[in-house]
Amino acid sequence: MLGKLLKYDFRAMWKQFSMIWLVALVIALINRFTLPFNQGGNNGVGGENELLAVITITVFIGVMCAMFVVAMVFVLTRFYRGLLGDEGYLMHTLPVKTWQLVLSKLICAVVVTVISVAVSILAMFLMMPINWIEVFDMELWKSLVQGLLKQPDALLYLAEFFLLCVVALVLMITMVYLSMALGHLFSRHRVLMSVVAFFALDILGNLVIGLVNELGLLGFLDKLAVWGGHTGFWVGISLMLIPAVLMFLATSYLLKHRLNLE
Amino acid sequence: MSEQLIVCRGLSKAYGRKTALSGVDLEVGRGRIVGLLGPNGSGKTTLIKLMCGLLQPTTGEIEIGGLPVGVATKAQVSYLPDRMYFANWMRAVDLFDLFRDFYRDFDYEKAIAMCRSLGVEPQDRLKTMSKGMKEKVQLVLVMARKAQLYLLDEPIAGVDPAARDFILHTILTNYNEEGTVLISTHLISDIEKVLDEAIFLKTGKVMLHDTVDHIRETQGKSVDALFREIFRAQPLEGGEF
Repeated sequence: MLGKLLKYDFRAMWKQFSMIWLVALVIALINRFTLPFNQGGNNGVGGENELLAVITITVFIGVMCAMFVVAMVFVLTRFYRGLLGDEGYLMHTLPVKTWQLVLSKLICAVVVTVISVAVSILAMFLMMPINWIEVFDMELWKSLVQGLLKQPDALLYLAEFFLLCVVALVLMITMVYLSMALGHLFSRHRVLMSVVAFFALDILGNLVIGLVNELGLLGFLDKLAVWGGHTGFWVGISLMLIPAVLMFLATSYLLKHRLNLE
Repeated sequence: MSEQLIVCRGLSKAYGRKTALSGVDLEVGRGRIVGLLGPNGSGKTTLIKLMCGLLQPTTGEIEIGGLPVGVATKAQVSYLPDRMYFANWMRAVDLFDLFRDFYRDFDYEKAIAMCRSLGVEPQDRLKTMSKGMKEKVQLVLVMARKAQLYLLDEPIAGVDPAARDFILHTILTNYNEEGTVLISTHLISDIEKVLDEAIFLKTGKVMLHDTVDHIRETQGKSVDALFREIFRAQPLEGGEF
């Protein structure tokens, strides 16, 4: 059932983002030709070209900002409107488990953010005056692969770093979800109470970290240097995963046992 | 299979200090068309939402087909809410796809056929449709299922009398006859002729639950007349003219 839910959540995502992702990449490509990369300072750059470059880069920055604002709004509204608003009447009457509804929204939210970041990185590359023939030079790739074979850890480090970022994102999103589920417990001012809940959770999180630190439970972190870098990443991932899982379970519990779509 | 389809025991629901339902005990069998009748604010929508799991009872319990409200009961219940519940970017066929994916008892071909007979083009985007068209799409979604229990919340409230007959006709010609249809409304005269049973709700309490034939026999009047009599007695709930 989770797969079916994802199918519809991804369809909604694609509907909203396909165009904005495409536009971001196209505008980046336009900037590739309008930005005066090769002219060195103002030499040889005419007033008109300069104006055009300013316009295209402004549009690019605008689209990038819009993309992340839309992504943020999407993460919030897919959950709030989709599970706690009118669309909740459809979602909560489907014969699926509540945690599956939440997980589907969570996966979709993470994917939207990751793709948006990927699109912005790709856009940067498209904008640069890179000589793609050189990039696809076989020799270069050969030496890269050889280098990686000598340092096989490098790719693993990269993967661990990526995973760490994703888990941090999951932690942030589950906190936002739990805030909305807590705000929903109130019969009035639910949006305001969600915001209050978010700050309360943040303070609670800091208190817990402070307490754990006080009790000396994090003393083992000092030994990380001895254990090596990989362990450091995995400890970091695990430490963030614990509150993320707890908040996910709390959100699912509240939606299952305290749902009141009035 | 349990004998009674719907069983409510001591069911109460309060929104903050306001009580919407209080101590409702109810049993409804299978294969019936039941009117859930009461004026606005009497608790009809609350009772239906509790049966769907969209609200949680303050006290008491509900069973549908012998099971507490959950995934298994949701698979048997076909619910028509009192509002639009879909995203505007979808087309009717997208919703049919969704229902086919999640409900085993959804008949896709029947949904398409019903659309055509109701004058709705299934390929059209919902945002280009009028409110009446969207309501028809929602009705098609609900009635193209072969459900055990149809919960229809005010299906005829916002439409003109001609459309009411049309909607009732659609419901009556498409529901699963082994299942039960629970229709909430305050427009009794329009649906009285199709009802087997009537439940009168007043300020969150069940005033009366009986078969329509028995009501006519014992009271010597129609359900509509009885309804008017009961609810006209205190027009402003203790207020004065």
